[in-house]
Amino acid sequence: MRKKTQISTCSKNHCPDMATFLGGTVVGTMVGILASRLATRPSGQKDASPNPDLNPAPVQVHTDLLRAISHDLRTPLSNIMGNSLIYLENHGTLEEQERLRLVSRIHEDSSWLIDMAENLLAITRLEDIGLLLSAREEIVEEVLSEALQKLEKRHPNSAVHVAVPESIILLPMDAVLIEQAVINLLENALLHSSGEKDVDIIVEDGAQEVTFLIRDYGDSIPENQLESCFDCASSRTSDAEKRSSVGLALSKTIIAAHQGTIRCRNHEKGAEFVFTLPKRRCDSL
Amino acid sequence: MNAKIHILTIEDDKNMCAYITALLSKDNYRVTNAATGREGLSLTASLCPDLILLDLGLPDIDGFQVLQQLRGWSHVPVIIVSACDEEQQKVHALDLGADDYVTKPFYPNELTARIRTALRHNRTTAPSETYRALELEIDFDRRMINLAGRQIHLTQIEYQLLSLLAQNSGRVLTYNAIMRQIWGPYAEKNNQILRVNMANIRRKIERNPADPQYVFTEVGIGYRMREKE
Repeated sequence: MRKKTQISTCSKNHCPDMATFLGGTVVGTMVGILASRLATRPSGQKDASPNPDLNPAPVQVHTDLLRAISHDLRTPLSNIMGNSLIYLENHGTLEEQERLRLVSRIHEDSSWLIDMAENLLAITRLEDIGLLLSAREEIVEEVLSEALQKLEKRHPNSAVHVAVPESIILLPMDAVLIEQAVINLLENALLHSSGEKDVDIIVEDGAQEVTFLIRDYGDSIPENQLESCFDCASSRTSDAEKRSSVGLALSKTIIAAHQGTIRCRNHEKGAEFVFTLPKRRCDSL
Repeated sequence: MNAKIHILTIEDDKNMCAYITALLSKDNYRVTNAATGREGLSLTASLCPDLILLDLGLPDIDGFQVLQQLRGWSHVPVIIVSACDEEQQKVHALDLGADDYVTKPFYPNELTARIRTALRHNRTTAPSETYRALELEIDFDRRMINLAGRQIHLTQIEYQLLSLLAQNSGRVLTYNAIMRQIWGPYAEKNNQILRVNMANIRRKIERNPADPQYVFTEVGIGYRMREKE
């Protein structure tokens, strides 16, 4: 039932209506930068990457990064600034309902910025990951349960069911990062889930690696998007679509930094994302 | 006399102060603001607040220093309210004697819940006789644990761990603090033994160990038990 063959990667960004994830360009660019930093190939050897975008010159990276950040922060910040100004200047004449609408939009955009801050922090942690991975083992269920708690705070009543094996699994990982990867995958799953059935997280303990399956029951991923990968830097999608794909892009980078794999595919009643984390310590990073 | 509970915020951001004041006044607390560490220390001495909300990044002396100095002469509950999300910082603050930690951005009810917990622990100095939450009941005198009416058997260490967390329900206990309490001052640095014991406890009291109802993990920091009812 859970064959892992023929799994393609995709960014499941076909439902652009919820303000959940980061702005695409920001993380897209950062993911690119980090991918190039994390790669073990000797510096200066530029042609090793199949995607030239992933390995730009450092100065260019810096510029791109700053540009991307300012670009993607602008939209929510303008909204917050604008909506609050409208409120301040017109609160006497605005209808109660309109006032509520303005404040809820401010609330929505600031929640979005909070997600962005979480993901940005995760990105800064990626730099020290080699050190952390060689030093720390975490209990899988603890990391998943904390991810669920955080998700629940942001999306109360989010229906997620998690199943772990009876045995206690210890894995070398940066728990904060894996938590973020799981949260991003879950937010994406919730976004596309029809709500009829809980989103499932299923953990399987293998000999060499541990497999995490995040399965939703809802929209499937359009065939033409199955080919486009988790990276979102190159795609020219709408702002809202980017928000979803950026979380996935970051998840992929986090998993890759742990020397794991991540894929996605459709099943009969929805879509599922599968990632693996190796059991050995990643001393070579 | 009907004196309101008095909370001192040591925080230099004006908007944050205004927000916290609005939030807490709504819950009928009296709030005083201090914009620097030194002002915070002197107001603590002169006003004797019931609880302190302490920011770590202050303009004069940092929050850790404030906490350290404060703990030299005061047991007033201190909750750190900081934008810093590094585990080491949280652990450091908790080990220096902070009662709890809330990371910005926080949800309003998160802060007020932590405040209530800290105040409650400060009021009750004697250890309680029972812990009760949802379907779990611990009778500390008889060392009995009941889950949905069924008796649960724990090992000696597991019982000590769970009762320590239960006596401190609602607040986070760092790995270090737990290790010291259970295994003594010469406990190993490596906390794996603690975490494996906790995983075993979860298997005995939680329906789903990965989605616990009673003992919550704060990864990299420690454990927090559900506030007793």
